[in-house]
Amino acid sequence: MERQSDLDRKLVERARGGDARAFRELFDKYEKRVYVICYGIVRHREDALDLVQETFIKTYKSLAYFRHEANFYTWLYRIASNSCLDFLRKRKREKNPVPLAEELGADPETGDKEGAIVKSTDNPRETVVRKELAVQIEAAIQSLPPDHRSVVLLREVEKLSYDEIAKILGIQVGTVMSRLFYARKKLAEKLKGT
Amino acid sequence: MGLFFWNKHLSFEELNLALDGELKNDRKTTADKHLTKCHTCAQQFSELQNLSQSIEQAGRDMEQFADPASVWQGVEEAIREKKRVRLSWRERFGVSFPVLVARPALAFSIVAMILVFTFFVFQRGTLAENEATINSVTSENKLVMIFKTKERNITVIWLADQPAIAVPPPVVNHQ
Ligand SMILES: [Zn+2]
Repeated sequence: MERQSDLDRKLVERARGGDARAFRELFDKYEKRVYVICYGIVRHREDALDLVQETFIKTYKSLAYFRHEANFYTWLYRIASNSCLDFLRKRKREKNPVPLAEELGADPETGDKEGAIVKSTDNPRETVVRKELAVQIEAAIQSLPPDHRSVVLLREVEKLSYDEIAKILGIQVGTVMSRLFYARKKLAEKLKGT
Repeated sequence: MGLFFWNKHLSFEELNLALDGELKNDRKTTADKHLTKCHTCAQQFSELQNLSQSIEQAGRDMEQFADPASVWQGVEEAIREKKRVRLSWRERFGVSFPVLVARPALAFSIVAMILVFTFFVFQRGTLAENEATINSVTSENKLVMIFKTKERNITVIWLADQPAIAVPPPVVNHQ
């Protein structure tokens, strides 16, 4: 991890100097992860893609302000989560999210389809169970407030420490903990209840 | 002492902290020890672990929709754009078109001010030495006034809330 952040710093340095290929490397490394964060917060695929794009554009434009004592990803995720939360605030109410079942390609009536989100495994039964679970998790995450979703994603998917999450979201470590624990409790209840 | 810790189950918070590797030193040792001995807490801990893994998996499964090729296209265009014009219209003037669309009164006031200015530019030559002009334009609840004296060449612009008294709509007074 230490070496990764050193590599990132070098890439940032080159990108600052006008090396577009260096920025492309950073993009390739983090784009999917930023997408998961954005989608996780806004729950709408097209909006999430727009926000990923916006995040990288903002990041590029403000490379000059990046301070090397911070990790590049901390800074990137901060721009991403702020953009998403701002977006939701501006929009006030969320658009109808595309239910995961649709994105899964699993039509409720016809079942499986090509391009399913959950990659099929050798065991078809396991694939079905995983799909059902993914749909349930999707619905459960959907029920959380957006600022709780961001904490959950940064912890569960990105495996960041409480301290890093606090820095990214600009909140206290105590707030990270209370949001995370509340969210886990709610998610566990939802998943048990259905 | 051992009995005391044995009787005390881990709180939900402690289970979470243990799961996230956020317990340090003594607290970590105590929690680890408890988890090896207490079936109830171990059970809860494993449920939390499963939940955490399921969310992580759901997140990983999402990655395939990230569409890097098309996103990069947009980013690359913006990078090229940035090299050409460094500031967007919005960054330069601090106001965006959506704001004007959302607030027609503001947009109307700005247009009215531009029109009044244009009017003055054309009228300027006809003003006598000690004359002053006051122009006012109303729009919804806004009142725009332009005051100008030729000798000192001062232009004052008010963009204020219209007082309760009725001012006839678009009025141009020219003295
Ligand atoms: Zn216990």
